[in-house]
Amino acid sequence: MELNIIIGGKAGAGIKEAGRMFARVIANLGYYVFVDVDYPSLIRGGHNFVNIRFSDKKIMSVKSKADIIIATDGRSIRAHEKDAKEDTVWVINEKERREGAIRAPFKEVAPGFFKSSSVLGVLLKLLGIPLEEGLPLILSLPQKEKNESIYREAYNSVSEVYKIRKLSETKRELLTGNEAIALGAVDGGLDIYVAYPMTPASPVLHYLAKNKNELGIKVVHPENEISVINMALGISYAGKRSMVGTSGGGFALMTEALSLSGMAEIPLVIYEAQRAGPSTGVPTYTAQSDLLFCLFAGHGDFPRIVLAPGDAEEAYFLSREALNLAWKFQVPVLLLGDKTLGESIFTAEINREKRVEKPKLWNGNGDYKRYEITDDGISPLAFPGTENITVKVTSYEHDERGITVEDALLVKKMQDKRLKKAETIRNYMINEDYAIKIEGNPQSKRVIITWGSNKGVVNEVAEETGYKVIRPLILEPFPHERIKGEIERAEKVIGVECSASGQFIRLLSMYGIRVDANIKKYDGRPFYKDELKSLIERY
Amino acid sequence: MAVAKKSLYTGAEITWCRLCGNFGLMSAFGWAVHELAETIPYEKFVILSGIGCHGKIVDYIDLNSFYSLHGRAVPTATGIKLANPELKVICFVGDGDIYAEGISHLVFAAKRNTDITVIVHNNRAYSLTTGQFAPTSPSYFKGKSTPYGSPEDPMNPLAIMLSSGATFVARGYAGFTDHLKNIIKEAILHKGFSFVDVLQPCVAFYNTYDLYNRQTYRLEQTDHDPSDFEKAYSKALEWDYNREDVKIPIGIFYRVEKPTYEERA
Ligand SMILES: Cc1ncc(C[n+]2csc(CCOP(=O)(O)OP(=O)(O)O)c2C)c(N)n1
Ligand code: SF4
Ligand SMILES: [Mg+2]
Repeated sequence: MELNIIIGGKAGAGIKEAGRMFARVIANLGYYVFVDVDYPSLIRGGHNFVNIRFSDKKIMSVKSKADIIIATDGRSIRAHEKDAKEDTVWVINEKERREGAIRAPFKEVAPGFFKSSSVLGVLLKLLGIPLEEGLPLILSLPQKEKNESIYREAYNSVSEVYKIRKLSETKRELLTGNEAIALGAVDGGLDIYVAYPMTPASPVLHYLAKNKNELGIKVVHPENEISVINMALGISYAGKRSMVGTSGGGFALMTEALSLSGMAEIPLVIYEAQRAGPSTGVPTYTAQSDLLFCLFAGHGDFPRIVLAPGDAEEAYFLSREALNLAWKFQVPVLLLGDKTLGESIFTAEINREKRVEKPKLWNGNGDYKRYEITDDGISPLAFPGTENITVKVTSYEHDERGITVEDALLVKKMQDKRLKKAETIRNYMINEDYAIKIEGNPQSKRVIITWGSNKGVVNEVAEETGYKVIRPLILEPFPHERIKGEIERAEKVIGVECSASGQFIRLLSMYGIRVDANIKKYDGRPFYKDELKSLIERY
Repeated sequence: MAVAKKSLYTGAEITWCRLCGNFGLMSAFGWAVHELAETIPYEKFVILSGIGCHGKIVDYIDLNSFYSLHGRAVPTATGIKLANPELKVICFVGDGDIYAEGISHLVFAAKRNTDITVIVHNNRAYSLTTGQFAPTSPSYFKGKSTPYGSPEDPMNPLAIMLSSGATFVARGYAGFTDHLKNIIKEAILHKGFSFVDVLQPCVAFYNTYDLYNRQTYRLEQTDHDPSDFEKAYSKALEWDYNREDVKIPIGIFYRVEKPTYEERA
């Protein structure tokens, strides 16, 4: 049992809210659900829609063709004709006309306000879900009496088309990737989150700012991204765990200080939520085209870690891991996400658990040297305020105490120290269980290789078409030996990515990994399941 | 009980030019720290710097330090203070560094009233990069990027700081070490954002010793009232960083207590 539903309307009409409420109801009934939110970068007007798919099986993608289309305005009817099948059930605004469509009163609480209550009413009735299932959500809204009467009127205005039954008594958890990243960071010991607003990373800022007191953290929104990252480095230097969040343009501004984090060996986590570029690009749409930028950003040679979660559960886990890794190795860690991961709603099972690993700390004996040469390249940490020592960090090349040097031997010595650290990181990371994930049909000789938020759609398609899926979660240090081992006996390898120039395939080729074909999507939209399936079937 | 004096010198080779104004500034600061050490332990100090001749000061002084990027010491300092409010956080920055590259951070630190101190080594030139004009260079300054003089007039950092919300605004002169020492002490003790523009002669690219010896006068020797914003503002406008024929006030222009960023955040 599964259905794909599109709800369309004007920006500001509460379409996203309607999608969120419906996802809540259907997850309460025990179903798996995935919601892709498609909205332009504006506040009023324009066209918004949510694409919702739910199923009794685990799913994490939407289809391009909908079983139900709810068009709350005339424009939505025209916009979604292309998404309809012959048997699609259409529900349109009572003021509009379309052959065979059900007409319903999509009322707003006040002129120009959300229509979400009426949408929910119509949808639940259509699916044969009892009115009571949606009521608690309606009653939690502001102006609840007004919303309730709109909801009831809408519910009673249409007839049942489907009969969706309760699957189980256990309600599924819903989470966006951004919420998962926020919670993962907190459970990894985050003390202070610093960010300048930029879609699609802003929801992390909003979530943490709203809940900072309960979560026991501080949140700062400074004057620009350059300030953001330098502030975060100050925080880490003083011994508190910091994290920043941004998208490509903001990260571009941060790159000088990214390199400082590498040179000064100051732990830092950067969440980079990709959107369609280049430049301002398509702010509210998705892409995977900051991949090479994130891997290579920053001047000079320094080690870094880049992690790429594929869904909300991995986002939680890797965000928590990112905090610990940054402090374990005293390096910048990039958490590379995108709009699809960050803003989509997932049914996710997350067992929240605080996990704050103790970093390598100074033992308190003798003189303190911030950049002491050690076997593994990692120098013990101490923080300013510690009696009888001085903690000196610097952007210049330096000696073990942190004093500027330019002497050839000393310069090389510190470069070698950082190389040593890079090796330590590499040895540790590539052996991590999660460095690569093997999914789909693991026995198959036909392989899809992909990364990031393509996880859900690729895995579903692979299961139906009999492909094996290889997906690295650690992109730097790159687990190329393990990938090579997995494709050794493959007869066919297909890449799947959201980048016009095929950045992921270029990354693979840097390590001598070749693919037979590369399926690329770069219109700002995620791969839809039916679309990807037919593309895969061509090979 | 007297606190044992810690040596504040790291032993690093000092590479400033002989007679550079940075020496006066550094000794004024060291003196201030030793006096403050009676109540503030040495390990509670954190000094930061930008990039320029001025920045080298953090290599020379043996206190906790963060040798930051060009223009970025101030947000870094804000982060340090937010993470550990017990620390006394002082930024040594250049005029090119903070009035050009990092001006937004300076304005916002003042706006926030974050409890840090910013000391500007204002030699009115980019010195480490071998002598270009800076935001406070006079328009007749012939720098390497403006060999025929500058087509711009200098900015007035004190006026900018006052209108940005700084709660402590002062100007010192590196040639008057004792006077500067007192200003620095007051600035560090001030609760909230404190700003000190230090006139720092650069013997290599803009030797201003004669000018400042001749033209400066001390505000404490007048009836100036630092709690009066309007008076502070008009004092700040007395010298426009361009003319050589007007008197240059030094001392504390403005001081007021307001809740700090760390208290409010
Ligand atoms: C981002 C960046 N741009 C340029 C430079 C080169 N640079 C080093 S110092 C400096 C200017 C120094 O002037 P100032 O801040 O006044 O310091 P001073 O040398 O006069 O003390 C510049 C432009 C740099 N280090 N970083
Ligand atoms: S160039 Fe100027 S500022 Fe730099 S050390 Fe020499 S005198 Fe001082
Ligand atoms: Mg200068």
